Order: sequence, then C-alpha cells, then structure tokens
Amino acid sequence: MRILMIPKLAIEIGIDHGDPSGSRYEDIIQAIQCVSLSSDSNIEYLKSGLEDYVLKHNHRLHNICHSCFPDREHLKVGTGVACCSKSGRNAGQVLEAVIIISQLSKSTSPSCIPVCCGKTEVLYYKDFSPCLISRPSLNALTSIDWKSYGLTLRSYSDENSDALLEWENLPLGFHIDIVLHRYQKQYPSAIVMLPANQKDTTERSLTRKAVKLALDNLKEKNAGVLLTAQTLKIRSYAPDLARTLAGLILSSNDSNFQGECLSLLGLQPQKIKSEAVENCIKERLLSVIDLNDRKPQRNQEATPYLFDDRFYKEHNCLDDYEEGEEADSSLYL
Amino acid sequence: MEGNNSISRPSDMLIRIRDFTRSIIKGMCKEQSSFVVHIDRFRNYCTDSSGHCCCSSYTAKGKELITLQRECHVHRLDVLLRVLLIVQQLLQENKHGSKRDIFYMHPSVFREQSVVDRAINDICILLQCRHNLNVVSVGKGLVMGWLRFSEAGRIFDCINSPNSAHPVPVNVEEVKDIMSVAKYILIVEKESVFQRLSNDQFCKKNQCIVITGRGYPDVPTRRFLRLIIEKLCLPTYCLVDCDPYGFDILTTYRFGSMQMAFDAKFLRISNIQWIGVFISDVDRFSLPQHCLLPLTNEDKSRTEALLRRCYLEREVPEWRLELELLLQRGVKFEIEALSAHSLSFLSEVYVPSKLKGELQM
Repeated sequence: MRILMIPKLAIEIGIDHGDPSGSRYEDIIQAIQCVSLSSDSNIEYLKSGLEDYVLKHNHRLHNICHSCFPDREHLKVGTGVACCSKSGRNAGQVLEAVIIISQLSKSTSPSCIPVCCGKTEVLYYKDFSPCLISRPSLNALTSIDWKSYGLTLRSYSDENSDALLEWENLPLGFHIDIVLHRYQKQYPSAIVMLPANQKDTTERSLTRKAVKLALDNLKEKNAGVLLTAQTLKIRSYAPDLARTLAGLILSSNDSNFQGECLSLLGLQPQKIKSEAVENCIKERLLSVIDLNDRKPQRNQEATPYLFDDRFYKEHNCLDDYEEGEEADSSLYL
Repeated sequence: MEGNNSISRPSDMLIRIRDFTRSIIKGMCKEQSSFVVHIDRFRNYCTDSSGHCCCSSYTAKGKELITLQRECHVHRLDVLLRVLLIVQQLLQENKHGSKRDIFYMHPSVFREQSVVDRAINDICILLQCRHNLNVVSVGKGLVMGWLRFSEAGRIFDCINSPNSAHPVPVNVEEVKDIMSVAKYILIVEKESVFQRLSNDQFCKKNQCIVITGRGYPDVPTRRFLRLIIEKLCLPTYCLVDCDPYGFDILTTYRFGSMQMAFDAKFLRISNIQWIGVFISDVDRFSLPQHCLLPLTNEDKSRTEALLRRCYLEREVPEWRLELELLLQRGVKFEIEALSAHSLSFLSEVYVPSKLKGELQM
C-alpha cells in the first residue's frame, strides 16, 4: 500500500491470528508521508511510491538512505500507462507501469546491497490491492524484446511470490525495480465479469504496452541508458571519430573553414583547444547515436539502401586477389 | 564519374575535402540529425542475362548510405575519415605516401591493406577525383620491348635492351615522350611467362612491347597500358591461362574490375584480343592430354559465376563459348604446359602462329 501512495486511503484492516507475543501487524497501518504531487493521477503516486521503496532499500529502512542516494535524481525513472479505451466490456481497464533503474556505488555498505542481486521482483497490484502477478501479465513481461533495451532476461519465476525476473550480465550495483498496477477506471462501480480468455488477452496487451512505454520513457529522459548492445558498440567509435573530425578541422590550413566548423559546433574560434573540439564533436555524435537507438526497430532494420549490399558481395567472389601491392599473385608463378 | 583525364589540382582536392568535412559537421549538428554519407555505387557487370541492364554505361548505379546505425558502417566511416585526414596532410604538405604507408599508420584499425584500398576508392568517388590524392601504389607491373618514355624527367629506354624488364611507372600522369616502333602489344598474365619470353629474346625477334601485371593487374599497370595503347594505336593481344583466374584477369583488362568500377571508363581496353591459351590448342598443337588438368570444385563454381556476367553475352560471346567449353570439359590448361614440346615453344611457335591472325578471339 505504501507503494501505491493512495492519498485517500485511510484504513487498512488486519486480522490478528491470536499470537500472544504481540500484534504481527504493528506496521501495517502507517501514515503515508505527505507527498504533494502536482498531478492527481495515480501514475504519479505510483511513481513516487516506488521511488520511496527504492530509496529506502525496499522499505527495509524507515528513511531514505542518503549514503546510497544523495538525492532522488540518482534514480532513473520511467512510467507508462495503457488503457483499454474500446467500447465494450473491457473499456476502462488501465494498466500502469513504473520502472526504476538505480546504481549503487562500489563502496556501498553491505547492509544496503539488495537481497536479490541481478534480479527484479515485480511488484503487482490489482484494483489497489497487492497480489500475486497474473499469468497474462507475467507472459507479457517475458514476451518483451528486452534486448532492444540492452537487457537479457535469463529466467523468470513466480512461485508463491511476486514474479522474479533474472537478468544476465547486469553491471555491478545496477538494479531494476518494476511495479505494475491494473485497475478499472471507475472502480469499484464498474466491475464487469468478462470471459477469461478475453480478459487475459486484454491484460497481456495492456501490460506489454505499459511496460514498453515505461522503458521508452526512461530511455528518453536518461541519455545512455538501456542502449542495445549494437548501440554500445557504435558508441565506442565516437571518441576516434571525434578525434579524426577534429583533426580534419584543426589541421586544415584554411582558417575560414576552421571558423565555420567551430561556429557550427557552437564553439568560439579564439584560443580553442583540440580537446574541447573533440569533446564537442563526441557529444554530438553520441547524441545522434542515442537518437538512432530510440527509433523504432523496424526503421533501423529497413536500411535505406538504394543498392542492396548483398549484390555487391555475391558478385565479388572472384575479386579476392585484386588491386594494390598485396594482391596474391603466387598462384600464377 | 567526373574528372575524366584532367588532373585536379591539390588545391581543388583540399576544397572538396573541406566541403565534405563541413557537410558532416552540419549533418551532425542539425536538430533532428540526419547523419548520412552518400557514396555512389558503380558496377561494370551484373547477372542479368536479358541484356537490358545498364552496366555498359559509366553512370552510378545507386547509392550507398552510410549512417551511424550499423557498426559496419561506422567502422567504414572511421577508416574513411582516418585516410582522408592523412590525404589532407599529404596534399597540404605536397608530399606523397603509398597505400602501404597509410596502412601502417593505423594497422590495428585497418587490419588489412584492402580496407585502406577501399577507403581510397570511396574517397575518390566522394570527391569525384581520379588518383589525385598524393597516394601512390608500389607498382608491380613489368614492361619490355620496343618502347621509350620518360617519367618525371627520367628516361626509360627499353629499346636499348628490349628483353630486359622495366617496372611499370606508378605516376602515369608524369609519363611523357612515348616513342615506339613496335607493331603490337602483348599482355601476358604471369611473370613466369614474361621471363620465359625475355629469356628467349622474344622482343629481339619480334618487334613488340610485352607487359605483365603479374597476376591481377594493379591500377598503375592498367593506366600505363591504356596510355601507351592510346598514344601508339597498336593492336593489343592477351595471353592468359585457360582457367577461371586467367579468364578473370583477361576480363579485368578488357572490362575493368568491380572494385574500380567507378573508373572503368578510363581503365578498360576495348580492343584487346584474346590469343590463348585455349582448350582446343592441345589438339591443334599436338600437346599430350596430360597437359589438361581437372577443374577443382572451386574452379567450377568460379567459372559458373564468371559465366553469369552480363557483359560476356553482350560484348564477347565468343569468349563466353570458350569458357563454357572449359566448364563442359571439366579441364583447365596453363601456358607453361606448352613447354611439353620445348621450353621455347611458346615464343618460337605458339605466339607467332597466333599473331598471324589465324587463331584469335
């Protein structure tokens, strides 16, 4: 409930099983810290709730861990909301997703290290109550192309607990938190009994959409995060490309040309150092590369060749020994 | 491809390099970045057997779009820009460097010489220039015979010693004062055949020029050959092994290579005549059957690929028939097999009989 941060929720009823050692629900009714949010939307509360959850190390602490998180900006957050707006029995279904990426430093205290390293416990809420993740939502999570976000899902499980996603090769200290909340917009008055398969399909597609929106939102707000493996390789070329381009500009014996290029880059020509030019070009290149990474995959695959590269490769089968000093002429002697 | 035979000055090249660099910086700085480098694509053959292809024209057949979306593109761009920076320095300092020199400046990035060669071709296409980048090749061609010329003020008098090999000049632009009393030019595929003719004093007995590219001819060899043919207006004959490699070398002289397709118009030799060796020569010259070697599977697949080239049917159908015969018979035949009669059979009998106009293509 502390994650949902529902401002109007006042009371939660718990039943004591008669444990003579004391109430087992000592903490169950807890004042939610007053959070002033500009928006009245549930997603903002959900986001705030998950941020608190992460900043307090999964609520193991009562207060924010300032040693790990000097400020909230250390968290990288993405949100996504998918609604079923079609008319009919599914209308009003909403699925909200919040994803937070946090990175702890190498000097983190052992008590701050997450219990499940390399794993994400997916918190799931339905109609404002915590519950076990539904099968359609779990299927949706496992069907997402995580590689297009630079992540590789190794395995998942959901036995008697929240769903657990296990990742491959997460950097040290890197952690992903996910919360999903499915509800009916006009709750509780608009609960409709739907055929099971219809509900499942709707929930699966809503979950997929909301999670992808959250991932895209996170990428858009945080440069260099959730990049595909190919983008990371391309980024590695940026320093060399920048150095060469800076060389082409600064080693030119045409000062007007130098001035024009520096002006295009937004740099002052006077007393400019090559390192500054390189860094500027590198940042521009990285910006282009990251922008390409955020483009839909179908656009990246449809490479705009006007001449298919495969043709060139097929018809060069005899041109292995060609041109230049290194042509192998030993076959002919 | 512009530029034809006129030489662009270094200052022109430097302007083009600056224009190209400026366009990259502009593309990178646009709000919705459109970082794309367009490189014209040239080809001198395809596999369209209908005869309706446009390979015989020298225009670009499409464009390659180099972006920052694929790693192979980015690597190609990295190589191209590194070579371009070196070229800019060479032009500004009025120095020359070889392709091999350039390779050793960044060997871990370039990895192979062919990568540098391709980058230089890309730059020639981008800047629409021909070999004016102050980048030179170490030529591997050889020439001998009744020819005299000068290169950068140095005189090469092959006539004084017509059976001595001279290296083909690399800076063809600086070749001048070409003089010859030769009656024809003979191109031979291999250095071994060139040496055979030299040892047999072929040019003393036959008033000709003999040239070899020592396998696949490099650009300086092809440019030099084209130059002397144009200047001297001599018939040109070609002698290659009867196998897929030999045939491919023949077509390189005749039609140009795919790698240099952008410059094919100025490198190809349209009036070349193929004098041998042919499968039929075995019977014609009563050579033993063991001179014919079986084609390997690789030879067969290469021959099949050659047969698909569009220009064969269109322009040299008789060459294509000979190649088909090679594939049908499943055998190949090397020039050296002529030594089955005698070492000098090539120079004293075979070539002279071919040049009498009886047995050519």
